[in-house]
Amino acid sequence: MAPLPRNAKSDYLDTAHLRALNRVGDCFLPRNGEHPSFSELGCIQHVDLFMPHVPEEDLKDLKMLLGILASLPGFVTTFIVWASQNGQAWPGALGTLMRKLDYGFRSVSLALYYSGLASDEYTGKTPLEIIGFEVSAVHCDGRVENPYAR
Amino acid sequence: MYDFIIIGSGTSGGMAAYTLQSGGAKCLMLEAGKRFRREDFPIREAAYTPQLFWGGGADFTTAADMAILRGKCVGGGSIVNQALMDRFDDVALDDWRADTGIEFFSRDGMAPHYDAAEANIIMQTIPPEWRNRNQELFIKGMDANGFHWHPLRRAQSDCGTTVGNDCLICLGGCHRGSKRSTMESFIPKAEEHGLEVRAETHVTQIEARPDGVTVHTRCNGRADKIEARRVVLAAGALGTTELLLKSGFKERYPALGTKFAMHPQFMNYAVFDEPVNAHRGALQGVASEDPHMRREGFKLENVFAPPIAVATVTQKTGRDLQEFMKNYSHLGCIEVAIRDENAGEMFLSNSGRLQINKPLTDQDRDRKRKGFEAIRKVFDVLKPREIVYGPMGFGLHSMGGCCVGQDPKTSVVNPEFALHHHPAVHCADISTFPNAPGINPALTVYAITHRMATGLLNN
Repeated sequence: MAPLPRNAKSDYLDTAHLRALNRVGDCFLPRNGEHPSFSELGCIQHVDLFMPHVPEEDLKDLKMLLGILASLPGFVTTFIVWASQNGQAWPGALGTLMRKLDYGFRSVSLALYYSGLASDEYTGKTPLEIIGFEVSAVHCDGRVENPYAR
Repeated sequence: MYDFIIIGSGTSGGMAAYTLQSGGAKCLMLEAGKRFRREDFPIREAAYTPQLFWGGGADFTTAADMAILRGKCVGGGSIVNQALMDRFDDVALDDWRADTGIEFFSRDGMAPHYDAAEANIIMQTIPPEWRNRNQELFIKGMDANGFHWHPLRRAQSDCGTTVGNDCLICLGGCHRGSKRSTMESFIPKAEEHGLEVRAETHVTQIEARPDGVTVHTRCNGRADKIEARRVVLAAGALGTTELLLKSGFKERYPALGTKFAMHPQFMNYAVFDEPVNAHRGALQGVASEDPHMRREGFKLENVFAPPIAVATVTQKTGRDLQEFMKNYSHLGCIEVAIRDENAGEMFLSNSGRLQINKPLTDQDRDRKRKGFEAIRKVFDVLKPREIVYGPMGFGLHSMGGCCVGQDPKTSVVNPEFALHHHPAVHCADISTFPNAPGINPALTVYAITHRMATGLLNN
């Protein structure tokens, strides 16, 4: 796992939380050919795009979970992420919990990874650049911009 | 004192505000979300998703097997939806009449209200020359199977797709002011007549008396109380129901929170060798209009989504996901929308949080299976390299919870769209839907709200 970016700071998560989230992100999005891993991309620097809008109760649960993961060996995170991805296999309330975990992990990881954003020190292609994603916003005054351009 | 406080600024709130304010009433509109100017919409997907939707992006059913999307900003769902404008057909209206016993749920009964709504909204039917490759493939596959389809009619004025604008970005609010959200249509017109709008104002409770209402709010951490003669609830199925539950109305209204339904949607992809560029140009242009599919309880829509949404619904991870996403520009996409059974229920948890119990019934699952089978047939004809079915569904058009009807035991709102026992509390938003129609609901929400509001003015 790559270290946290130099400017990775959050008003809602501390350094241990961010490291745990980085590890979760790497489980979903590893290094693969030209694709950087989640931690190599450094997109966690932008985690506060989401945090202000997470409901208070969910943020509390997220911080508790990340705090626990931060204090445990890395393979535990890998196992929990794997278990959450197989939520359908778990019965009843356990299955519900796993699906909630999966959505929480997945949404933050994928949203940051495919946001078009990276850490200040990252110099490679972003995943959006790798997949060739481009859109044009033609404004009423005639201005044209690609809102995803770095 | 205000004549009306309108809670919510989406489809129903906008129509209510315009009709009542222009009819001479003094109205205050309260909206929990932020008010954006069109140039301020956060265009990037990662930015608009947490800012424009409740729950930081989505709410979930209690089993966490379905994500529910609802807009949170001035304009509500009309900011983030696809602005499709369809009148209900006889199938939907006949079912509503059967469920409620309300006779005006008919083509003739609804016509004047549909007419009034359409007179105030600029609409365009997507012409062939605006279609992108995704739409062309959909049409080719549908035609080859003998499935009927039709071009979509959208509330839009000038999307600029012919000059290179890509409508995908309007899922985060229309920077051109083309999508005729209530922020672009009804609310400004109502403000010209004196409507007052307070954004970022959360309503925590309502107290209703025969002679008026007290609305409790919280804004910037500060609590307040506002008095009015009447209140119009327009916060959507989840918002309106949650507010009434938190205000203690369940005891008087046993049906409150029941008959929750939605149109579960599942996105499915075909990977082609040649580029499709489904994300360019007009985002949606055609959909099924097939009697057989209608009878079977599903429809097919030609849609697409930005990368984060596409990646999330596939439920893929790791290298599998990354390799799939490299095909983004080569994806065709068809979504199946199911007309589900209104078997859901909303209630409050012990900690006061809204819970949505909405399992997919056997009938829902059967409709989903049939929809997937139809999609397979459409894609097969096009000879893609691969078909990827999206296992993760999301709930659009959440409806019910505060259903309209004649019997106070089985409904919450009467045929005049007032609460049965509280003549000062009114509601004609999507929470009043008695069942899922299987048709985009926005135009009908405008219509029934118009009916409610004109009735209020006449009285």
